[in-house]
Amino acid sequence: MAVESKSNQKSRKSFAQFRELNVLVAFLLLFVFFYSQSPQVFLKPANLAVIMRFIACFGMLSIGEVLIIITGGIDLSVGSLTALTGVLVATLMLKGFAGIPPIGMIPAIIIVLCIGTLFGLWHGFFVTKMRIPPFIITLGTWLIAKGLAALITRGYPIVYPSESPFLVLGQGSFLGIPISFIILVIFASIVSIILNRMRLGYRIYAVGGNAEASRLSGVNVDRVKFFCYATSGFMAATTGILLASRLGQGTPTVGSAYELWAIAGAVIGGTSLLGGEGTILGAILGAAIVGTMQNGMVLLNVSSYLQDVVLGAVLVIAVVYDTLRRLRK
Amino acid sequence: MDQKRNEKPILKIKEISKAFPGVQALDKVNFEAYAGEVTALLGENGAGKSTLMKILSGVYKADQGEMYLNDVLIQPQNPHEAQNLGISIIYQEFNLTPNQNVFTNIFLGREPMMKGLPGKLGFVDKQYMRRNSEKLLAQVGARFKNDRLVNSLSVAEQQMVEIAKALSVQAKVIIMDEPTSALGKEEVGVLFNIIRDLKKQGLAIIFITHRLEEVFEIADRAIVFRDGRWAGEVKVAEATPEQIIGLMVGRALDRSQVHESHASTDEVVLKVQNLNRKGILHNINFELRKGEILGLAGLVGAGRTETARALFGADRMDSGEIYIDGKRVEITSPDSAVKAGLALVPEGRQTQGLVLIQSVERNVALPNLDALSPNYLINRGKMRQLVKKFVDVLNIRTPSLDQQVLNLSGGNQQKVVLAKWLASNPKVLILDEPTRGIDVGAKAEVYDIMNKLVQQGIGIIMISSEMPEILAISDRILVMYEGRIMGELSRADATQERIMTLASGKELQAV
Repeated sequence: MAVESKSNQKSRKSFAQFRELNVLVAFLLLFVFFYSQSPQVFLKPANLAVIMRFIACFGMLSIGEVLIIITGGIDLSVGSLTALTGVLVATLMLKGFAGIPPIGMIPAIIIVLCIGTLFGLWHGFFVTKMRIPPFIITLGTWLIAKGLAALITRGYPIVYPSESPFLVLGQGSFLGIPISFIILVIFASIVSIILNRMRLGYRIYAVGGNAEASRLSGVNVDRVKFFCYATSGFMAATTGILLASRLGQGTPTVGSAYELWAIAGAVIGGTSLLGGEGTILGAILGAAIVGTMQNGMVLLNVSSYLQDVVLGAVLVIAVVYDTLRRLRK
Repeated sequence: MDQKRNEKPILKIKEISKAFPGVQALDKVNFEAYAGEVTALLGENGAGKSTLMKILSGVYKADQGEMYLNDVLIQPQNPHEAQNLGISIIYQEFNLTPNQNVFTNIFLGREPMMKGLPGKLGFVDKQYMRRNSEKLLAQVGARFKNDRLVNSLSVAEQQMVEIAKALSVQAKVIIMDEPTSALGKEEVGVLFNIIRDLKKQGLAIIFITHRLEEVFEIADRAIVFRDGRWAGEVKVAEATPEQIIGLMVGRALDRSQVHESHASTDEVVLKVQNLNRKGILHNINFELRKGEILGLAGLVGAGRTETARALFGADRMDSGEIYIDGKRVEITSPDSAVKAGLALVPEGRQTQGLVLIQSVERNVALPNLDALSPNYLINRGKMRQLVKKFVDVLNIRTPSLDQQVLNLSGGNQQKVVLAKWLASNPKVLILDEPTRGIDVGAKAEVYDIMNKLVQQGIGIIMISSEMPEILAISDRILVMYEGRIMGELSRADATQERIMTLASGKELQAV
């Protein structure tokens, strides 16, 4: 039977756009709402920069989460890894580690990014070779990383001197756009291209849709999963570095529950916890919704307890909506 | 049939029909079962046996027709209702919770409550469960304790638990769906003793099987289904195996129509030497020539699928050598098998063959991504071209290449699996039950595709449990039994009887 590929290509495109359109519309509505509620403050460049830095932080973690959730897994470790890597970069640069004197910014950043990636590979090893459920192995790291961060610092923050050039990463801007946000856009673009245009991305979606069918189609399923977990670890380290820079200190208490916000962002953005579905654009928009709401509610003087209630409700609504959409199909 | 009995059937099924999208699974079938009798239900794969049993046990609802139990019209809405009516079914795959003990399993979902207030509060009566399960186990001749964990029992013992569970609801009719497929010879003997016992106790047993010799050993009557229709009924004591095979096969596939013999070349494309998997495959040796269709026949569990999977690197082989075009190839994973020029259409179309939530395009592209992405970047134009070509060649009926494959019919899904492998340009194509569960039209199309492929010089290995199919399609037939190749039959020599003889582990008498 003849396939009218032209018209179909069109319909597919509009459908794909439509999926993220939902999230985009929700985001814009929120934006307009908060603007109408506090017109003086909300659109000020300083406030927009706050929102963007926030999105940068959770968006980065959401990228890793989306990859892993597409393959049917989950990564609970990223919040604690954020704290550990932030502490590590500060320790390496300011105090030195295990008798080694302090090192420069670039080598410190590279080392910490490698450590984050190694944690990811560690997860990949247990998930693929040992068949340990991702939930369990990353929960283990969640505790381990949290404990290590506190051990290294003995509970106290390691504070950067205010003139340290390292602080530019998290606090500086380029043409009015926070540098951390620019970094997010770069990483999100790279991973988006991998997912949409490269064979690795095709394989990630296939593994999430049906791992056994993928294996029998010649896909090296383990290698695909290794990549996703390693990327998540790398993103957590990036977030840890940016956060240490933004706060001007490496502190073991940051990052708590960030993994849940990252997962929430991914899910609000249309990633299916059943695996096989999800996009980076959706996850970034999901993170943007979370960020905008938190910021807007602060401006409206909503109590922080109520903020949690509202954000939780948004998450539930997003998941129910997504499930209904799937059922209708 | 003249049953010469005054008693009425305990179960009477009248003109039941059931359709699934694209298939008429049952077409006005009749069926009767009598108390104190074993009724065998026979038929090829897809004949409608399982569908009828699922309707009877409340899993499916019939489109038409009526069922009577002791002359009372019944319409079970779910398995629970069917159970309460006295109809129990024991599936091939057991419904037991392996980490719980025997008596908990026997009363699963129907736990007896304690008397008085504790019962109302939800406390179960363990005493009662223990005592009664002991009786039930004795009834089926089980020698194990009722507090053993199910996962510590052998398959045969687990089956006893299933039967005890069926008895615990005061079953009047017990359906057994291929109960012997997972059992060894001695265990089958034990099971048959239990069945004879249950018969004496006045139960009606419906016994689904495709092993003829079992029918003659245990059944009183045999009912044969074919293509969703009632094909005939015989009294086993008066019937011959040929008679029953005749009913099952019915339309013998006309060989000349499907296939002209093609093995014109002598070039060996695939050679398998001493392939072993401990406890599963023993010294598998064979050759496949270019342009040849090699049929792999045998009963379920004879090692055909296992051979295919080991060959394709899906399961690890313990030893063995594989040559393609005369060159030794090392196959350690499906990945390396694909690179060596092998392709496998697995038996589980939906679980192993397809990513159901993905589009036709993505599924066809999956094994071919390397070829489509010379610089890691997918060439989407080329991909669409390739996919479109094979969708057209195989005449896959889909509204678009972007349609999720889960929305396609079984036949078209199977063609998508074929398409993805044809696009990979294999030297050897292994087909595991390629026509299972697809309608007659789609079957003919699959045969047609196979004929075209061998003409292009591809070697095909086809596993099939359908005799007429294997006889009509194959140039040569290997028959397997318990992980070994029992014998080889040329196209000219092959008959159903010879295949059946080899498949049940007996040597052929001098031909």
